[in-house]
Amino acid sequence: MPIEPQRRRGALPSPSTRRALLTAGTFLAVPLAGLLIFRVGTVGQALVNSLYQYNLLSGTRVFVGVGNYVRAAQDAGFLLSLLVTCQYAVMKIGVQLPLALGIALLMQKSWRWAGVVRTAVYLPVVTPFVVVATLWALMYNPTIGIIAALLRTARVPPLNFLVDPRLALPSLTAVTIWKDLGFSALIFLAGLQGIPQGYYEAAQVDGAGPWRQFWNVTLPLLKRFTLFALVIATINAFQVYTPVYVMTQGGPLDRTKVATYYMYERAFLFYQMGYASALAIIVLLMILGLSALYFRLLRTE
Amino acid sequence: MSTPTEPTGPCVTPRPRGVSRASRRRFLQHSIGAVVGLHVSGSLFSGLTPPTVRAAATWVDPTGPLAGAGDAAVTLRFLDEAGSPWDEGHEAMIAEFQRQYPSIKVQRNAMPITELYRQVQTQVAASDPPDVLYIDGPAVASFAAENVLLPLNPYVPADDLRDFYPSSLQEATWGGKLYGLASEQSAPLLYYRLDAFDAAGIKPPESLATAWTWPQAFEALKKVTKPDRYGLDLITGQYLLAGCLRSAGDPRAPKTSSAYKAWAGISPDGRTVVGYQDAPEVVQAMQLFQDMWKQNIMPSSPIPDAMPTGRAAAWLGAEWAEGKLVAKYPNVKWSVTPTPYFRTPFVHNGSLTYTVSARTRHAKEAVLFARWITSGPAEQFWFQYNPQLPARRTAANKVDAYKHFPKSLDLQEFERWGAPRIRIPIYTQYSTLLSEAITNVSAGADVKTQMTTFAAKVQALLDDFWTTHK
Repeated sequence: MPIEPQRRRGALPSPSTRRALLTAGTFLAVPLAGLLIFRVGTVGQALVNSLYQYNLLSGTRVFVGVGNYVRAAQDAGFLLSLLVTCQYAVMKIGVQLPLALGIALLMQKSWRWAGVVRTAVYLPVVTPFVVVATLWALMYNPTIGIIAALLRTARVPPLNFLVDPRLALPSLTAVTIWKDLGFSALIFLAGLQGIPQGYYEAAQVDGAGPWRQFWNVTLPLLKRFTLFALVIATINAFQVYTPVYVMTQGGPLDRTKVATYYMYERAFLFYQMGYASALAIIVLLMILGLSALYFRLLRTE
Repeated sequence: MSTPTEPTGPCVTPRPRGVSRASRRRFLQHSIGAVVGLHVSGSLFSGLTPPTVRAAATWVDPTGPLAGAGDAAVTLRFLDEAGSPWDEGHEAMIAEFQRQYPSIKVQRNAMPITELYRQVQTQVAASDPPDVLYIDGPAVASFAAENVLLPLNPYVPADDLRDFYPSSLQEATWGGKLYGLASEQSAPLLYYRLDAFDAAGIKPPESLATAWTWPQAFEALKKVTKPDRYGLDLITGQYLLAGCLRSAGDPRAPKTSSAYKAWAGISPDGRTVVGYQDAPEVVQAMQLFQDMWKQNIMPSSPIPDAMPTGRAAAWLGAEWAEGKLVAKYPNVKWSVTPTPYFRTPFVHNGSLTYTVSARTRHAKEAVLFARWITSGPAEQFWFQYNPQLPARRTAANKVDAYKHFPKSLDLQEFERWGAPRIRIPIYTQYSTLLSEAITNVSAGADVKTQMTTFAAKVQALLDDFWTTHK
């Protein structure tokens, strides 16, 4: 790429720059159009729909203004679904990120089985969630599941993982942790590989042991990656849908009815697309708010 | 299996009472032969000339209101259920339809039944609905109430309608108009393993007159339950269970009584479910099912093929699932007993229904297809793939198998005890909420609270519906 001489203010770019801009613009236009239509556009459409009582099947639309938002604030079912989502997010992130960091530390070292561990950890990430959820539902089955069989071998009575109200959400969370662990580990691994070895050598010279090196070198320098992993994990946690749909349909006793599943029910089972759109906007704002909070808390210089 | 062949001999042999179990098994194997690719060697109907594809005549003549159907080349889009027997059966029927009406092409789009309604919604919302929709009977009311479906009355002669069992027509009628045509019917039975019941010394009844009540069935199922085997598998949740709950009511009781309301399920004007779905009789009946879950007589998590694999001694099922049982587990010895009841002998019947989109651009051709696929010869054709009670009386009467046990019990139960599911314009929502309540009860939740909450949730949706559909 030729280096452009400094241009005077207001002067037109050179023909070669214009050509480069045109080429770049052409390449960017397609994904940008996709982004605008299928991401920004749909959010905009959801925002518009949220102001209507809108039945997808009959096509009837009645303007209700902020009525759907007021209704959401008073809807015990929706508020419960938010609580379930938060419980799920706390459990998932609280277990997944420390575990992912530990695995990333393991994968970083060059040892005999590092490749096997990397493959094993990342394999669930690339497996479709429907397949994962179906397999785990079978494994959890108290009669024919492998977990029940193992428990029976250990003379422990089989647990009804997906039907027992106390176990359903933790069981579901375990599946999503297993599925997403590899992705978080990969983020941490990228971060770990970016830390210059010199810092560790300096810390060693200062007499720091492995634990102190981890606390004073690794963790602070992983802040940006931790933030990224946290934001992604939070967004994923608030968007969880497939395992709920496949494994529990929100039950038992609404203990796994997360906000996205509640939205799905309202939109596609109860035909309340306007109300479901309002719920989606509320959840979107919550995710944005949480992301902003994370960025503020973990701000690095 | 694209074109039917002319049958060469009898396939379904009348089986007199007392015939051996092996014979019964053979009979059932043969009757679902086409579904599983077994050789169908002869006519399934006796006394009726089988349809011959070489016949020049079409099965439905496009005359009267259908005049001109198929004159021009048209492609119909048919939204169908995926899986067996629809994949092989409907493909073969479509091939035959296209042979009889060469200018009409049918494009089949099949998907699992759980995805059908979402697909209909999105296609309707996009103003691009399919021309013909294959949907569950009670859901016809939901779609008709939202003006998604075309009324079929102007296109179907009254004489022809009289041949259908009344419940098939009731199920597809909303606001006095007919919106769908069915090709088959169903009634549930209690299927059981002979080894399990023989070992316990229990001989379940084989006639409606001596049918068990649920408390009697409970006692029997308790005896066949073992640490490694449940007594009963209730595979399809809400639709069969809802019928059992309604049997706790009484249609002869005064209309203001809870007994009547428990049986009716919804008020006569279709606007109230509170007091009906949570009537004391319903709660009491549901309590018995919870006891069965609590005592491990019934599994609360689904077990694939629980009864034939020996993980359950009995199974509340219906003809549509019987084919798989026979085909996949030919060595399992089983029999049937009428569906137990609480106070009134009662079961839910019904089936899938062919409907036409209100927004189709090819109304005549779409109706012609719906009428053709539910015509007498077509039902006979379809029976080869799905040996289930035909929706037409004349067709059903000509199937020898229904004159003998066990299929005779299907027909008797359907005719004497059967009624469609409740007529509610929010059936899909009602069904979702009922499944949820059942799951909660199976998880040990308080039955009364669950049924009351369920009824209140349905009522709220029903109120919303009637507010916007005055």
